[in-house]
Amino acid sequence: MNNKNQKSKLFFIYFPYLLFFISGVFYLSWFTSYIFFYQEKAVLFQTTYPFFIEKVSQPGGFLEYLGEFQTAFYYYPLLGAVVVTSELVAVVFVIAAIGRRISGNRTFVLPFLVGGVLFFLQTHYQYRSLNTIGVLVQLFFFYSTVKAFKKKTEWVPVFLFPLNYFLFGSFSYLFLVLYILWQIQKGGKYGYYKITGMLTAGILFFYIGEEFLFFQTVGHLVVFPYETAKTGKQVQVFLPLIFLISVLPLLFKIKLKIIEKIRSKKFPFLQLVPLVLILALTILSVGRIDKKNSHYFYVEKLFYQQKYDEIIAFNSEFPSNNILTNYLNNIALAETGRLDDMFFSFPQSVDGATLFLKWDLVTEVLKRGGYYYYTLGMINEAQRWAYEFMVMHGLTPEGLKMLIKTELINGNYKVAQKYTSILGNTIFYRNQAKEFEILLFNDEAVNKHVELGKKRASKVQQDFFVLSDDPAANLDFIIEADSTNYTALEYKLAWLMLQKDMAQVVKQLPILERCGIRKIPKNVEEAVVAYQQLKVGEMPELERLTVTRETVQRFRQYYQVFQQNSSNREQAKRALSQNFSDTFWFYVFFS
Amino acid sequence: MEMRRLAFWVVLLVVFSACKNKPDGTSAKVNKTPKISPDYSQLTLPLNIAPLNFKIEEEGDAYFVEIGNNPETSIRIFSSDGIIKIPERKWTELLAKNVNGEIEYAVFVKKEGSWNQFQSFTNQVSESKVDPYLYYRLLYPGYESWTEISIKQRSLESFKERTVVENNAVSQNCVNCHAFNQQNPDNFMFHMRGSMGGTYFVTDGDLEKFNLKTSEMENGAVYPRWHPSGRYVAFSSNKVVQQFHSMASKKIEVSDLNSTLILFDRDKNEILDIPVNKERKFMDTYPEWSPDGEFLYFCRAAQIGPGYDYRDTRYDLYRVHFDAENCEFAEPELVFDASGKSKSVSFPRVSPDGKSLVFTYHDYGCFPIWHKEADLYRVNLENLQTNKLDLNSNFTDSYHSWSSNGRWMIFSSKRGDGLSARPYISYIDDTGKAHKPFVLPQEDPTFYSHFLKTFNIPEFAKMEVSFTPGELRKAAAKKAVQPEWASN
Repeated sequence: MNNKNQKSKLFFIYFPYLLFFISGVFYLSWFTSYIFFYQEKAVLFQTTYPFFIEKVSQPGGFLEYLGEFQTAFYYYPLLGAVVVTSELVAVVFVIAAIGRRISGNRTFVLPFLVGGVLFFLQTHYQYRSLNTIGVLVQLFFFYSTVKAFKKKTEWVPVFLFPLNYFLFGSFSYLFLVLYILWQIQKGGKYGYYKITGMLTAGILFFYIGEEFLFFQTVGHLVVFPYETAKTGKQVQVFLPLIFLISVLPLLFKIKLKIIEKIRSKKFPFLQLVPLVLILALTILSVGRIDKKNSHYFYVEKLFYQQKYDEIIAFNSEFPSNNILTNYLNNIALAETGRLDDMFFSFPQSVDGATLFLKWDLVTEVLKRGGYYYYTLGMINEAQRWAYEFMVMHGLTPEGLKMLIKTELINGNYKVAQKYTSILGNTIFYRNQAKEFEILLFNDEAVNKHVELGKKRASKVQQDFFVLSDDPAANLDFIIEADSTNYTALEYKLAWLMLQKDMAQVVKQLPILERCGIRKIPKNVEEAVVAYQQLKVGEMPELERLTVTRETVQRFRQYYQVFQQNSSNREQAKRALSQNFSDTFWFYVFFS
Repeated sequence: MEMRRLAFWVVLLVVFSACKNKPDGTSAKVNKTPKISPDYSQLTLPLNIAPLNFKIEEEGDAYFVEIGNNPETSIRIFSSDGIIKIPERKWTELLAKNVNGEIEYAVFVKKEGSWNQFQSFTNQVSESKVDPYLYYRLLYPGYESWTEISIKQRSLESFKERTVVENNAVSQNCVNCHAFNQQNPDNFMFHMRGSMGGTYFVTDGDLEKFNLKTSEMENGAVYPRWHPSGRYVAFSSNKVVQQFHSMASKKIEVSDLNSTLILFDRDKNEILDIPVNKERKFMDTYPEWSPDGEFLYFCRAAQIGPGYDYRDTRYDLYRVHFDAENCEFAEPELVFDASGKSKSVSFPRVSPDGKSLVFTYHDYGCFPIWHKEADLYRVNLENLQTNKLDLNSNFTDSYHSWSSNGRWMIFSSKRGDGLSARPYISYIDDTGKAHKPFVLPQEDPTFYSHFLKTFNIPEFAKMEVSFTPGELRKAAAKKAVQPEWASN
C-alpha cells in the first residue's frame, strides 16, 4: 500500500514536468516551427577553433557561442523544439530543487510560473536561445552553490565570480543577486564578507577588463550578451522575469499560511498548480502563433530551396499582403518566366517594394535584396548585398551560399574555395559545401550546373555603375546592353505597369518581340489592350506579337461593368473583383 | 579476450611506429621541389623573422622536413597532415647560425608505405634585420559598410598580435589611415570617422584628438605623412566617391572629385594650404616627404569636370621643395610623367636613404587596391630612371612601405585570392633590386586560406605603440582640439 502511495506521489510530482515537456515540444514543433527556421538562418555556427576564440574574446562571448551552437541544431525544427523544451523543463527542475533546498518543502508554483513565462517568451521568433541558456546556467550555478560549496569550499563561488562574468557576461548578475540575497537571508557568519568579496572581485575584474583588456564600450561590457532585440523586444516580460528569478531565495522563505494549510492536507492541491499553469499557458500560447510570419518564413524556406512553383501555388492558395512575401513571390514568378502573366494575381506595392528592395544597411533588407539582382544576372550586385550583409550582421548559411555561388559564377574560384571551406566547417552544411567543392576550378562543371550555369549565361554583358537607390533604373542599363535578357524586361514591364504607364509598356513591345517572345504576357497584354481601346496613343509596328480577341472582349466586358457602376467606386470594385481582380485594369482603377 | 587485447596492442604499436617513423637513406628521389603553401622557397629572409610555417601540398600519409645544412643543428619536423610548424627558439638559433648564408629545406613525403624525397629548396639569411613590428588595419574588403575595424600590431619576430585600436571600443566608429613618423611609434596618428570622429595623435604615449577640418576647408584631412621633424604633417584633403561595377572584375571604383594638399603645423596648432595649386586646376593627393624633409612628393591629376570619365583621370608624380624653418614651399616640378604613358601613379614612398622612390603604377585613378593591374615601380631619384620591381604579380600589388634600414619593403598584394590583401615582405638589395617576396608568416600556415579580412596599410615600426582601451575611450570622449586655419 505504501509502495502504491509512493508511486502515486512520484507520479504527481513528475507528471507536470512530463506534460510540460510533451506539450512544449508539440506546440513548438507543430505550430511555431518557423521560429527555428528563422533563427537557424540568422547565424552560422562554425566548429573551428578560431571561431571559438573570436567568440570568447569578450565577456559574455562564451554564452553567445553556446547559444549559436544550440541554434545550429534548429536545422531540424523538431530537434530544436526538444532542446528548447528540455532547457525550460531543466529551469523548472532546478528552481524546484533550489526551492526545496531553501524552504525544505517541494515547490511547484514558482518553478512552473518561471518556466511558463520563459516558454511564453520563447514563442517569439526573435527570442534567442542564449537567454534561456544564460538563465539556466546561472540557476544551476546557484543550485550548486547552495548544495555543494560548504565549509572550506564556500568561498569558491566568490572567487569564481569573475570567471562567471567573463563566460556569461551580464547573465552572471543573476547569480550575483541570487547569491547576495541568499547570504542575507541565510545570515551566516561570513555572509557579508562573501558578498563584499564577490562584489570586489567582480568590480576589480570589470575595471581591469574595461581599462586594459577589452576593446568594447563600457555600456557593451556591462550588458553583453543581453540585447533587447535578442529577446524579441519583450523587455517588459523578460526583465521582470529576471527580477522574479533573482529574488527567489526570498520568495522561497515566505511561508504563507494558506499554503501551509493546503500543504498540511493530504490531497495534493499544490501539485495540481502546475497543471493549471500549463493549461493557462496553452490558452495564452494559442494567441502567440504568428500567422503572418509563419506564412512568410514558409515562403522563404521554399525560396531557399528554389521551389518556385510551390511558392506561387502556396501564395495563390493563401494570399498574403506581406511585402517581403510578395517580393519573393515575384522573384519566383520571374525565375519561372511568369512575372508579367501573374503579376496582378498577387497584391503589389505601388512604390515597387514588392519588386525590389531599396538599399538599407541597417535592417534585414540587405539579406534579401540581393536576390532581385541575382535573378536579373547582376551577379556583382547580388554579391555586394550578400557581402555587406555579412559585414553588418555576420555570416549566415544562405548569405554564405550566395557568396559562394556568385564567386563560382564569376570564376573567382580561390575566393569561392575560402567561403566553401567555411561552409564545410559547420554542422549541417558540410554536404552542401562538398557539392560546391566539386565546382571549384572547373568552368565546365559550373556551366553545366542547372542554376549556376544558367546564371553565368545570363550575366549582364556590359559594365555600368549600379544605382542601388534606384533599382528600376538598372533595368534600362541591362536591357540596353542585352535586349534578350527577358527577366530584366519582365521586371521593367512590371515596374511600368505598377506606375500605370501604358504608353511605356506599349513602347517595349518591339523589344519584347526581339527577345523572341511569341505571346504577349497576360498582364502586359491587358495594358496594351487598354491602351488601344482607350485610344491613348499609336501602336508600334510589330511583326508577330498581337493581342488576342478574348482579351479585347474581356476588356470591353470590364469596361461595361465599370461604366455601369461609375457613380459608386466601391460598388464597381465589388462588381469587378470577382472576375478581374488579377488584371492590370483592376489595378489601374482601384489601387 | 586475450586475442582482442593482443590485437589492440599490435594496432597501437603500428600506429605509434607510423607516427614516429622517419625516412632513412633509402628514400626515392622526386625530381621536383615540393609544392608548399605559402610559397616560402628561394627567399631572402631577415635575421629576425618569425618561423616560416608552411603546409606541404603534396599527397601523402606522412611528412618529414629537415631544415638546415648541418645535421647536428638542423631542425627536424614530422607531420601527419603536411602542416609544418617550426619551433620558434630553434628557428631563431638556426637563422643566427646561418647569417649571410643559406638554409636548406629537405622535404620527404611518405606515400603507399615508402618515403619520397623532393628536391631541396633554400632560403638566404640576410644580416639586415627587419623592423620588429608591423602595423596594419584589419577589415573586410567590402564596399561601404563596416562593423569591426581594428589596427593591429604584429611582432615580426614572433606570432604575437596585439590590438592597438579597435572600433568596438568607440561605438564602432570607422578607424582609418594610420601613420608613423619614419617607423617611430612616438609619432603615431590615425583617423576616426563617426560620432567620436577626429584625428588622434600619440605623442610620448599620450593620445589626443584633433578636428583637422576648419570652416575654410572644403573636405577633411585624409591621407597623412609626417615631416621627419615631427612638427608638420602633410595631408591630402579629398572628396571621395565610390561606385559599384555591375560586371567588371574590380567591382568597386573609388575616385576623387577634388583634392588639395594641406599642412598641419603641430607646434602652432595651425592648418595651412600647401600653395602648389592655388587656381585649383589640379587634384593633388598622396603626400610623401623625403627623409631629409626638404621635398614633398605628391600625385597630381588635372581637375575633373562635369561628365568626366573616371578612366581618363591619371596622376603624375610631382615634388616641391620645402623650407621647414620658414614653412615655405617652392614651385612644384614633375618627377614622373605617368599620364604621358596613359598610366597613373599613387602612394609614392621614398627610401630612408633618399635615393629611390617606389610608387604604385596602374591604369587610371588613385585607388589602386581594386586595380588588378596595379604594380610597384621604383624611381632612382639620382637619375630619375624607372623600373618595374621584381616582386609584382598578376594581381594587385599596392600599398607599400620601407623598413627603417631601407632593406625591406612591405606591401599589400592580392595575389592569394584576388580579393583580400595580404602583407608581403621583400628584400631590397644594394642595387635597388627587389627579391622574391614572402607573405607575413602565421603560426597556422593555413591561416590565409580561411581568413576573410584584408590587411590594409601595412607599416613597419621600430617599437610598440602602447595605449590601453581605457585611454582610447577617454581620448575619444574628449572634445577635439580645433586647429586654426592659417592663411599663407
